[in-house]
Amino acid sequence: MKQPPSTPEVQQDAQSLRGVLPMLILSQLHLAESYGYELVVRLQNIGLGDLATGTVYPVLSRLEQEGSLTSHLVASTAGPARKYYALSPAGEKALMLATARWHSLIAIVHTGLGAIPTAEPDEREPAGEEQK
Amino acid sequence: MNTHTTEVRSTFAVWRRRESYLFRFDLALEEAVTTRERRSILREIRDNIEVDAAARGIDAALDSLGSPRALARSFAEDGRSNRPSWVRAIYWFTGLLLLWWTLAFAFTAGMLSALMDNGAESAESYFLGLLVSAFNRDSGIGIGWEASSVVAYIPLMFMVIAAIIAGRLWRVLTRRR
Repeated sequence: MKQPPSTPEVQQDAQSLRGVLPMLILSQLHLAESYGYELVVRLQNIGLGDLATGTVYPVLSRLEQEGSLTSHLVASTAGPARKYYALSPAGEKALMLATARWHSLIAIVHTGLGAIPTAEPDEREPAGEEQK
Repeated sequence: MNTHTTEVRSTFAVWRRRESYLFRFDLALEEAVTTRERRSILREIRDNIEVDAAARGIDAALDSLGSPRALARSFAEDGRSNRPSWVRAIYWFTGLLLLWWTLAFAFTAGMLSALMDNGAESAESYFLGLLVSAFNRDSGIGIGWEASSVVAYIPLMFMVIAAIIAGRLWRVLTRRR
């Protein structure tokens, strides 16, 4: 899967990803409703190539329980009816709030990092190599 | 082996892997969510596995989901599985009961066989505290079991205790506190 040109070629930290995943799910469903696996593919296409399906499905379930998502079954020709998720009005509000918080956090982190240079990809430690 | 046979076996292998995963997931899910949620989640995960397996293969689809137990736990409200598993308890009780029956029938059949071999009319013996009788008369053959003491109920108690432990049934009480 080809990554977008603007996506840095750095493996995402699982903990950080878990924090932003609900916001990204809400943002994708804001664009168009999806069923579980289709949403995973869409998230992978925006740059989260290593995203596991097992990370996304429980978040979808939790967001639905919280009322941020609505779901409906759509008949499928290949098998049983498929569950599609869409953003609810509460989900729209949650997305706006999460986006505002995210931009605020970015500004803080940007200020905190100051002029620290970003390592070029070829200067980084290869994954799994011991530090000397 | 022709191509058609290979395809049939391959389809069976995919079905077996998927159903095995879903079976373990379902058992673990019972400890995490309500019955209604469980059915809905199971149906959705099954559908997603089918679509994913068609795109990347069953191995990649299941690897991406992670272990069935971990996936089930992540569906729990607080990330913890703290509900009793009635299905697992029933499986254990039924499995042990079938094992006990099989052993008891084998023991009784052995007794009957010995009676027929040596020509004796009847015999009595004990199997795990259960009085087992067998007879071989002109009118026909027969067997009988009699729970004549508390000892005969020990296997049953063992089955119940095993089911309680396997299904973590004490959670029925601890969840209400």
